[in-house]
Formats: sequence, structure tokens, C-alpha cells
Amino acid sequence: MRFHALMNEAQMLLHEHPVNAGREARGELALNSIWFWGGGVIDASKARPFSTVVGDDPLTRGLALAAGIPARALPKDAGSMLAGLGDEEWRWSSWTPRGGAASRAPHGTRARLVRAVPRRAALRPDRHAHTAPCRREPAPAGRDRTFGPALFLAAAEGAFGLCITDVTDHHPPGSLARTRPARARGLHPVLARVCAARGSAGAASSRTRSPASFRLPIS
Amino acid sequence: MHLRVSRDSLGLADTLEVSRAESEALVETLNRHFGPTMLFYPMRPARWYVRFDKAPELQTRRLPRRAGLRSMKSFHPDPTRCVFTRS
Repeated sequence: MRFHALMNEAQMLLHEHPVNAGREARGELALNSIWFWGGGVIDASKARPFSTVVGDDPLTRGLALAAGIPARALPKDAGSMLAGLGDEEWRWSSWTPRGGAASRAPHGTRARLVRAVPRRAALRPDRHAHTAPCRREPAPAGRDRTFGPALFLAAAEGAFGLCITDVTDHHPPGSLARTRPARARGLHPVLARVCAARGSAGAASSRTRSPASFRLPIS
Repeated sequence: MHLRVSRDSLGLADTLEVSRAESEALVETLNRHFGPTMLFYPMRPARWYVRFDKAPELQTRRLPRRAGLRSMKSFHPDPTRCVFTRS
């Protein structure tokens, strides 16, 4: 019955909370209870391949939190993220189509991705990732153009190790998904490009690869 | 969520507008009280994550999909079965 005792205490705290007094004064329903669902036991032997995770999705942030890695909010644009790049290695996780681009990636890519994200959970959809603003703005207003080239350059320089993104279910004019076919069949262009940037130059030397040798997908 | 208990029924509303500030203020109070026993993370205003120091013996269910405040006839207080049961 320990859980019930905790629930009762929590409800008492919520009941007398000033936030709820304010809500009721405004004629809104009080937040007087909590619905618990889901749950599991955290794996203590979690690998930590990333030093930083960027993303707004609760799952992304939760995984980072559980692994003891700093989770940062998604910046407004790639420029402001890249401007803050120092020696610190950045890892960017947003999302990949359900079913997994990783599973259809060309030979070699999958191993790389699996190494980068040993827990497949990190590859699950992140609906609130950087493409979300595109949904809110039917005209992309240069969003992809802002993110795309900057991300590819950063990937080519090895600034981050993993970028999973998606613009597939809403193809705004000029989006990355339409501008150029994916190099690998079934693989999203963004992911394909990022994988290519990391893959062809080898592990350590990919950091010094010249961005100029990497063709931008948007002309 | 909002829970309403009357003499012979139980109602809940889960489609509440919650601001980030409200959510964080509530969680701050809860966390100050419970500490690591039951630590909440307000990842989203209306969706929090919680970490227990000891895993509770719970079998939970997703919140039933329902809009507005409705009554739930059946309520099982036995935490080994579930938190709430749909009628």
C-alpha cells in the first residue's frame, strides 16, 4: 500500500497548491491528481556514446536523462546550434521514420548507426524534433534551407555523430526530401547524406574532411 | 489530470490546458516533498515522468481516451491490479 500512501500525499499537496487555487479562481479545473502509467526498470549498464543530446521530444530527453547526459533544447535554427560548437562533441538526435532508415541503410552504415546508438529506442520517432516548426508553418520559410546545409557541413566536419531527422510526411516546397533522391534506396536524404559524410572518410579522419568536397543537397 | 469524486461515482478529465509554469510549480512542490522517493520530471506540461527509488508493485493502464469529464463506475484501489479500471 506504499504507493497509495504516496498518491494520497501527492493529491493533498496538489489540492492545497496555489497553482490550483489560481486555476479555480479562473474557473478552470484543478490539477488534483496524477495518472500513472507505463514504466520499467532502468538498465544500469547503459552505454553513453553521446556527450550531449539535442532534442525536445520527451523520449529523447528521457533517455538522455536516464543515461546522465545533458539534454539540450532544440535551438531555433541550425546556425545558432553550430555557432555554439566548441571542442565539445555534439550529438543530435531528432527522428527517423518508424521502421527505421537504419535498417535499410547501405552496408556499413547500419553498423555505424548501431554503434552510435546502441539502444534502438533512441531511433524511435521524435515528433517534436526540428521539423515540427515546418508543420506549424506550411510555407517552410527557409527552415530546411536553414537547417539542411548547415547540418551537412557540420556532419562533413564530424561536428556531430548522429543526426536523425525527418521531413518525409510533409514535403514543403523546397524541402530536402524533394530536392534530390536519396543516395541509398529507402534511406532518407538527410540521413543518407549524414551517413555518407561520416562513412566515407573513416572514423578519425572524418573530422578533417573538407566540407567543400561534400555537395550540398540544396542548390 | 482532474479527478472528481462524488458519493457514487468517479470522474476524470484529462484534456486540461496546463501551462509550463503551472506544471513546473506543481512538480517543484512535489519534488521538494518526496525527494528521491518519487521524483518527477515535467518533460511536458501535462506529461511528467517519475522515478521511484523502489519500483512500485503496479500494473498501470494508459489513460482511457475520453474527452471531458465523465464518470467511471469502477474504481479498483488495489495497486497490485491497476490504478484505475475502466468500467
